[in-house]
Amino acid sequence: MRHSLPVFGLALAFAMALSSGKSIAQDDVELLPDNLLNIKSEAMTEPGKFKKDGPYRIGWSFPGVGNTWIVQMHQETEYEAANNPQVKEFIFSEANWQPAKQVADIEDILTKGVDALIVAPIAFPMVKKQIEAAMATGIPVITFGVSNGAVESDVEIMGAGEYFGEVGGTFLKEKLGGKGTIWAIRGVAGVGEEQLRYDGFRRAIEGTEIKIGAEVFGDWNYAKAKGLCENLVLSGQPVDGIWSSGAEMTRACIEVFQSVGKPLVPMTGEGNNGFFKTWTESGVEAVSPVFTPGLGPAVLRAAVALLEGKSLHRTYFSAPEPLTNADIDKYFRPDLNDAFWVPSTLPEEELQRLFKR
Amino acid sequence: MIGGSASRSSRSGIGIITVALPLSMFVLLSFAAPSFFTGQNIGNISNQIAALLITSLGQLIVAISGGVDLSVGSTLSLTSAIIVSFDPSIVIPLALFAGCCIGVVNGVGVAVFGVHPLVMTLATATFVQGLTFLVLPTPGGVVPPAIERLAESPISGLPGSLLWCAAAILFFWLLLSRSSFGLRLYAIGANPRNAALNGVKVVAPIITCYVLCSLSAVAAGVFLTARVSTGDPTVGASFGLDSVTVIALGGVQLSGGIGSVPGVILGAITLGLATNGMNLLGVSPFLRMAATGLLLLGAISLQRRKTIGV
Repeated sequence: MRHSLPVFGLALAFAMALSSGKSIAQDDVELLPDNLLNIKSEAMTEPGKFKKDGPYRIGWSFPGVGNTWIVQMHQETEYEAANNPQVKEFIFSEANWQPAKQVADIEDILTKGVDALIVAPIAFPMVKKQIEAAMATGIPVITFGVSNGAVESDVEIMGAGEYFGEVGGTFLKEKLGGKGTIWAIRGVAGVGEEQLRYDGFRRAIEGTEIKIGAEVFGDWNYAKAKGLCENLVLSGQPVDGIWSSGAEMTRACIEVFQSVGKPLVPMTGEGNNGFFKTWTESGVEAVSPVFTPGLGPAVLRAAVALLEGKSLHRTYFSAPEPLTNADIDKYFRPDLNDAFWVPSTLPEEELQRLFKR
Repeated sequence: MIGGSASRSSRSGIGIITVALPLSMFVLLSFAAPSFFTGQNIGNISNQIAALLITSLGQLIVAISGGVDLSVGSTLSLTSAIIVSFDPSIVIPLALFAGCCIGVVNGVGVAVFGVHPLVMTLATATFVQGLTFLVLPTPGGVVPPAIERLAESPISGLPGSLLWCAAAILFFWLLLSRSSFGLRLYAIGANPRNAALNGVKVVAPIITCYVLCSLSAVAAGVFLTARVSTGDPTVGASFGLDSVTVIALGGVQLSGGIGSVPGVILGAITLGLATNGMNLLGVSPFLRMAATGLLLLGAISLQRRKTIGV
């Protein structure tokens, strides 16, 4: 419990933000505390456009489950839905990372007559027709992810994927003095968020003498990344730093380096407790962009706010300050297991119930 | 001799479970999900299963010949990538040519070089998926309007997907039930050695099966790309195993010689209803895959294995 207070404090801040957000002025609805979710577009939705009496039925089409961040994001959203009296039914549908299934999922959700639709697309262009069809029925549509103008929705909340990648790229550029060889461990090929992270990383190292010595897709998966990293290490290819699209893959690489006795190189991670544990124990030089699972509840709150007739900004993004070696002690929770991600909107008793080590 | 209604019935693979499963699901969902039996949802189901049904019909003829084709998903994805990446006037011929090439490679590998169909088509699937990422690394692109119109129905109120399904069903039904090619295929699948000893050529029909299977994946890719109006390099990722699931649910024996078009239609409807039903009933995402797996396991376990020609 050594480090439980800071995170508990953070959770408390979330709870206060939530309670205060419900009573503040229409154009100032706070979906998450300022440092976690920022306004990107000054344009606002029309007040009262979607106003109707609650409680509401809200549907969310999500790309797929399969890693611990998504599981926690889903748990946090379910908790939010269960504790919000304005939510009558929350339908969460996952497409198993199959674009064709996501199209079908959205059609099925709309058939159920939901009051608001949330879509986190595997790829925005794939679901454009379905989002347009949903908007044509007059229900609010909130998208989660970076559309880059490919699809118009009522509110877009994004995780700032390019910023995520750029943070890691900038960290490695500084650590390597602008030259050297980097291995890039990417997520799932063909997924929009993954490409954005990679683009951000590439932009950060542009104009330097840094080369990408190897580039592999670890599917944001610990086991797959471990095999890939073992192959790369055993191949003897030079490496001065590792850029990773996700923390579980970084954790796998650190363990591979340690198991073969190879000196650790600077690596990029993410705000995951398992990574924090490995980070702390190994002493690796790392940076951790923050991608909060609290974005799930934030998207649900946006849907409720629109249905309550409140006005929201058209676009929000989440790009909190990254964590460095100096921050790690504040955020690592030895009492919680490796599947826990920070910062969380869940109260302490829920954290203990779900993530107790 | 293969002939008569009894023989045709036994080689269709359709049993009580094949028919009872979709029927009972239909009845169950009609009561359990108020929005199930609505025009909008029936249209949804039709749109959702069309591409899978077309791909599964191709998988059916490969399965009857005693093989399996896991490369259909990658072929479908490649078609999607081609449609948004090249000049609109050549995309359909190019996709068909690519489909033919993939089918020929699979067929020659299996029939001429004796590579196991699983190994052969898995290798092709991996290569074609890699090629697809080279053509189109991320989702996007614009589908030519002429192709987009292909997914729409010229008859008002009738989903375009129904016409695609009808055309594919008619083609494969005629091929299997009303042509000498179909008759030879059942003989080869039941026992290729017996068929060869009786003067049936084995190599060319097997290669033809794989070519037709790849072309069915191309057709499904054209429909799916037109339906969503954009390209995606992973859009077909699930179709390899899903099409095998569909034919298994439809009573098709993967050992060859048994299977029919009506069985595949029933299998596609079963899987489509399972997916649609779980969405409408709000089944937890963590339970869905397990539920689908149980459904498949139950359906397969309750079907009696039959042997023909040995």
